[in-house]
Order: sequence, then C-alpha cells, then structure tokens
Amino acid sequence: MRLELHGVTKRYGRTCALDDVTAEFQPGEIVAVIGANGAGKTTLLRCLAGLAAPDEGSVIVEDAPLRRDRLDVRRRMMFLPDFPPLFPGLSVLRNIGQRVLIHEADKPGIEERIAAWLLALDLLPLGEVPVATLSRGQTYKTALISMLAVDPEIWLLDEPMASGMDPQGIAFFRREARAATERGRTIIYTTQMLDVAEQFSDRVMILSDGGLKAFAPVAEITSGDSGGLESVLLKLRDPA
Amino acid sequence: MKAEREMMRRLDGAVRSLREHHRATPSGEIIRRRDPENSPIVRYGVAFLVFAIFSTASFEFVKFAKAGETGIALAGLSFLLLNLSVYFAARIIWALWSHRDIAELASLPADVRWVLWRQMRCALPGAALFGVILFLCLLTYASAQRLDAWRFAGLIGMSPVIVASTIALAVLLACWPVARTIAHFSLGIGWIAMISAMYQETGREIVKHTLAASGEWLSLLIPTGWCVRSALAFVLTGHESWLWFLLLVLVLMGAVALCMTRLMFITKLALDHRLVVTIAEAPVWMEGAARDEFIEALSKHDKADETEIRKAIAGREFLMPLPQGKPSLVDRLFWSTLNEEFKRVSLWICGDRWPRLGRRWVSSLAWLLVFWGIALVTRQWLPQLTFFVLVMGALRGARLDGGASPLDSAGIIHDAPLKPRVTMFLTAWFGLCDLAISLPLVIAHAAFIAWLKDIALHQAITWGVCLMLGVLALRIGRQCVSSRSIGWWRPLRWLAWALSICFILTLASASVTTGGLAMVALWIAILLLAVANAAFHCWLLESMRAEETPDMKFCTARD
Repeated sequence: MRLELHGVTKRYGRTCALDDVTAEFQPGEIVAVIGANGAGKTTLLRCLAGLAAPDEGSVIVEDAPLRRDRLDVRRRMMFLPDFPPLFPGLSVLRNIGQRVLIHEADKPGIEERIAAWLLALDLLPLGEVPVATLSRGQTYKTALISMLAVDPEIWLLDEPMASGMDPQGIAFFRREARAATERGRTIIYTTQMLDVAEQFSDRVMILSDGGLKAFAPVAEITSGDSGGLESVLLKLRDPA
Repeated sequence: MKAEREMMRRLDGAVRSLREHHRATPSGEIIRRRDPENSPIVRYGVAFLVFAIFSTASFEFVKFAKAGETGIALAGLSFLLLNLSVYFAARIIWALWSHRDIAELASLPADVRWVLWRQMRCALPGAALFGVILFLCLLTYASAQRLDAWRFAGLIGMSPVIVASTIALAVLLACWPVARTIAHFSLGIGWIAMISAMYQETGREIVKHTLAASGEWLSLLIPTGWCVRSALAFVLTGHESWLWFLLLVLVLMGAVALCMTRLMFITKLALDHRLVVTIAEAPVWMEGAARDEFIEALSKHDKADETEIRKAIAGREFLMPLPQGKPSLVDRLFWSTLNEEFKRVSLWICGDRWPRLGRRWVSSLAWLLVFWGIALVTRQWLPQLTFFVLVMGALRGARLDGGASPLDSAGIIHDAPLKPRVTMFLTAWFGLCDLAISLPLVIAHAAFIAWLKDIALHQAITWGVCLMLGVLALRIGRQCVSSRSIGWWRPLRWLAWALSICFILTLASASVTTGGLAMVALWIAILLLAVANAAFHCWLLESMRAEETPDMKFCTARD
C-alpha cells in the first residue's frame, strides 16, 4: 500500500504543526519519525491515519486522496496513539475481538495467534480482566495485540518505545514489526530515542517546526557526521 | 452482536486451551480474591443486603410510629431505602446479565435499532427505580388514606401504564430530531402549570395532601416524582380539572424525554472524550442541533475541518462505545440537564476567559434567583429546594476523581488518574475554594429563609454553614474513591444523600424532632464514615502498590 504526502500543511490556530511536507512511504519499510517536542510528529501520524485533515495538500493512498469517509482504506491502516483508545470497562479479550471485527480482519486461526501473542506478552492470565485495571504498559500491549491481529497494511504508532511496555514487550514489538515488513507492511512510528531510530528503521524522517528536514536512511543522514542522529538534530536546533 | 459472540467464543476457547497447556493461573482470580469489590456482583450484592436490612428495620419501626412528622420522615426514609434495595437488586441482575455476555456492549451496531436498545438499557435501572418509587408512593398513599382494595388495585394498574407509555413516548421523542426542544417545552409548560396551580386553592390542597401522604423529601428529589404523585393524588381525590392532570403527565413525559436526550448527550460527550473517532463515524440518527454539536466537538477533538467531517459523516452508520463509567441516577434525571443549561448560560455570560470558579458563581446565582423567585411567589415549601440545589451545585462542581462519569471526563478539567494523596489534597483545596465561593450564597440564602420562615438568622446561618461543611466532607470522601474501587462507598453516598435531604428538611422546617435529630446524628456518622472510608482507601491503595510484585500481575490502577 503506497502512501504519499503531497505538500501537507496543517495548522492549529496560529501554530503550524506541519509545513508543506512531501514524502512517500514504500511498502515493507520501517520509518522512524523523530524531532523535538511539538515538531509535528503526532500530527503527521494523524494526517496519515485520516484523523486530521490537512489544511493544504493531501495524503494520497494508492493514487487516491485519503478522506475520513474512505473506511475501506482506513481499515487497512491502524493508528496506535501513545494512549491507545480502548474500552476501559471491557476485558482484554473483548477489546481485541472488537478491534478485529471492526477492521474486518477475522481470519481462520486468528484466535490461536491472539492467544500466543497474549502468552508472549504476559497477558494470557489477564484475558478477562477489564482494561481499566491494567497498567499503561499492559494496556499498550493489548492495543498492540489488536494491531497484530488486524495486521493492517500500514502501522502508525506514536511513541511505541515510550509506551510503558517492558523490555520483553518492546523486543516483541520490534520482532513482529520486522516480520510484518517482510509481508509488505509499512511501519511508521515516532520516537525520541535516537539509538532506537538508528537501529530500528530503514529510513528516518526528521521534522523540525513542522517542516521536513530529512527523509533518508540513517547512514545517508549522518554521513560525514560522526555524532550520529543526535548531532544532526542538535545542528538543526542550533545551526551556528 | 452475533459476530462478536462468535469471536469471543473462539478467543475464550483458544485462551483457555493455551492456559491449560501452560497451566497459567488467571490473575483475574487474584484480583478478585484480593479486591472482591472489583466484582459488580459482590459490590451490588453487599449494597443490596445493607439496604434490605436497613429498609426492613425502618419499616418495622414505622409500624410502631404514630402519625406525625417523625413517622412520615421515617416512612420517607424507609421508602428510599427500599427503593434503593430494589435498585441494587436490579443492578445485580444486570451485572449477572452482563457477566453472561448476553447483553454486553455490542461491538458492531448493525443499525439504529441497536442504538435504541443501548439507550433503553442505560435507562433501565432509572426506569425500574422510578417505577418502584411510584409503587411505594401509591402504597403509602393508599395506606394513609385507608383506600379500599379495588381503588388501590386501580392505582397499581394505572401506574405501569403511565410509566410504560411515558417511556415509550420518551424513546420516540429522544429519537426525534427535535426531541430536546419538545422536552424543554413540555417541561416549561409543566413548571408553569405547577406554579399556577400553587396559586389556586385546589392546587395547594393537592400539594399539601400529597406531601403529607408520602414525605416531602421525595418531592425534592425529582420534580417529576412530585408531578406524578400530585397527578395521582389529584385523580384519587376526584378533582375535576383533567387539564391540570394532563399537563402534569406532559411534564413527566418531558422529563423522561429529557433524560433520554441526556443519555444521548452523555454518550456524545464520551465519544468526544475518547479517541473513538478512529473507528467511528457520526450517527445518522443524530440530526439538527445535536448533529451540529457533535460535528463541532469532533472537529475540536480531531482538529479537523468541519466541512470535511460533514462530508465524511453523510449517511454513515455509527459505532457507539460504552460511555466511560455509568452516569449516576441524578445525572440521568433532568436536574443535571437544567444545571447544564445554567452552565451554558453562565458560559455565555462569562465566556471562556473567566475562570471556572467565576462561571460557577454565575451558575449558582442563577439557580438561587430562580428559586428565590418561586419561593417569593409561593411562600411555601419551595425555598427548601434552594438548599438542595446549592448542595447539588456544590457536589457537582470541579471533580478530579479520575473520570468516574462521562460528564466528569468531558468537563472543564480533564480527568487524570492521580495518586490518592494528591487527589485528596487537590479535592480538599478545591473544596475549600468552593466553600469560600458558596459561603456568601449560603449565608444570603439562610438570611432569606430566616426572613421567610420567621426564624432566627444565626440559626439559619448555622444550618447553612453546617451543611456546607458536610458537603465538603462528602466531597473529600467522594473524590478519594473512584466508582469502581470501593463498592460500599456508593450506597453509603446514597444514604448520605438521603439523610442530607432529611437533615435539610428537618432544619428548614424549623421543627427539630427526635426523629429529625436521630437522622442528623446518623448523617454525621455517615459523613465520618465516608472520610474514614477515603482514608482507608488511600491506605489500601498505597499498601497494594507496595506489595505489588511482577509475578502477581496485580495493578490497582493505571500508572
């Protein structure tokens, strides 16, 4: 599923969250979006998910503009905010089941896979427990399992590495995400952890004040700069 | 729903089989064992037992009570307790029902019928309680008037018809685009009718008659209840003005319709608050102003263009989530709607730039002026309402209790799960602020009551101040416990409410009796218990956090 941004600009009042961003995402790649707080990372994901309409420009999915009413397209992508929207009063299993049904992703054998993921993420004993009683990390894991079960073509994740998941959970996510790219899935996530972005991405997108400063493989961005991504970001912040 | 049930069956099967394979112990059992109040069945079961015992005891007591204020007050109290018992019994059934997944939230509503069903389910406990209140009122009335069997049977036969037809009509109204307008209109007519009736001898007689029959406090709970009882008493006593009766029925319908629209509003707020827009589109059944409100909320929430949303939602089905938490009974009733209206007015007057407390001032003043106006016209029992309203206002102020109700979560302050101690401190602080704001109003009102009822000013002021302190204590207790954490707090709160009202009435009627004093004592005891409960809860949470170990997978709240 090809995803493109064509001159996307998004303003919140006087604040320009995204400023004329043009980019293209290829199937089967992992993109880490980095930038300072307020650089427009989350807005970018929201625009990509169809949750926020650009003021100018457009988001193109398979050569057609993405609109909110394109449910057929939106079902093929999934956005996981830093605080995933789950039904707090419903159990872990029910939340996952609902998400699978909503995205029309019910396939034979899905239940076994979900149970296996629950086991891998230490959630198996908590299947009947209401989500409201879980910790943040466990809640995020629930949402992550929903995403795995839905297996959307485009994964949009806001700060998955800072979601409260334990190291096993993060390792699980990275493993599953890498496996998903082999199935042609596109994974776009935001992060503030530069070492993660360096190691766990095919390309890195750097945003600063809403503008796209770089969108290339890490090696290309950091070529000639021994300080890595951190140095690049610092230079962006203070060019002098 | 069928698809969801099938999916859940498969998931349950897979999870169970994997559990058996790994011999994992469901930590849900640990949670239940360590925190039994997490189970709604246990929670409401305890509540039911408490109230059943209380109500039985009070009924026994009432049997021996002579006619008079104490007897009436106790009868009123016992009604409330019995009603609550039935209410909680209904909740137990509901919890059991939900546990069996028979009528749990449907994930994929096929059409508008599902929405209707959802709304009706939300309204079910309220309707049940309302029916029970009605029945008991009739019973009291029949008993007080020594009605013969056939007349009582006639009454009993009539009430379900009224309730059923009203609810049916209300559902229709609620689904109608102009429901809210109609509801307000009928309610307005009803209020006018009632106030007009107060001028007439017949009206006054009816009011007096009915109030004496079933306890004045009940009429203060909901004007709707008052209307129904007045209407029934009117029929019983054979007054000829059917028009008045019809107007009262209209009020009732309006009120219930308002409740229904209120439920929709709550749902909308919940929608606005949650990020469900990722999976939801706007409802087709929401039209006109409600739809505009929805779009506005959606665009604010989503920071999206309204035109885009309008395009997107055209002709779309709607996926409705369960509101976070359940609205309280009072929220369901139209008090809160009226209060919201006043809030809107105050927002309109003050704008967004004014601090929240300033807006509350205007809102409280508006309430006060309205009831003073009514009280000046009638010079009857209505001033007592003001106290009640003030208490309501104080209780419904700023809340920081972690989103116990959708109204809270959609309120001015966004809910944030806070640590109990922080919550307690903040609540106490806000409570003190509220107290500082409300105190002048309370004193002013006390002076008004003193003048109206010809009692000593200092006495009235003392009542008011005591009341506010009591409310503050209630608030501190309330804020420290979320609705799901301490099971026995909620019934306790209800009891505290009932006793508060009895307390207010006893004081406001300036005739303190033994029964009244007993109720005051009980009320204070409940308040102390509430504070102790809050302190206990803090300790419990802290100790649970301290004991938490990774292998137990036990979490008390979202971190």
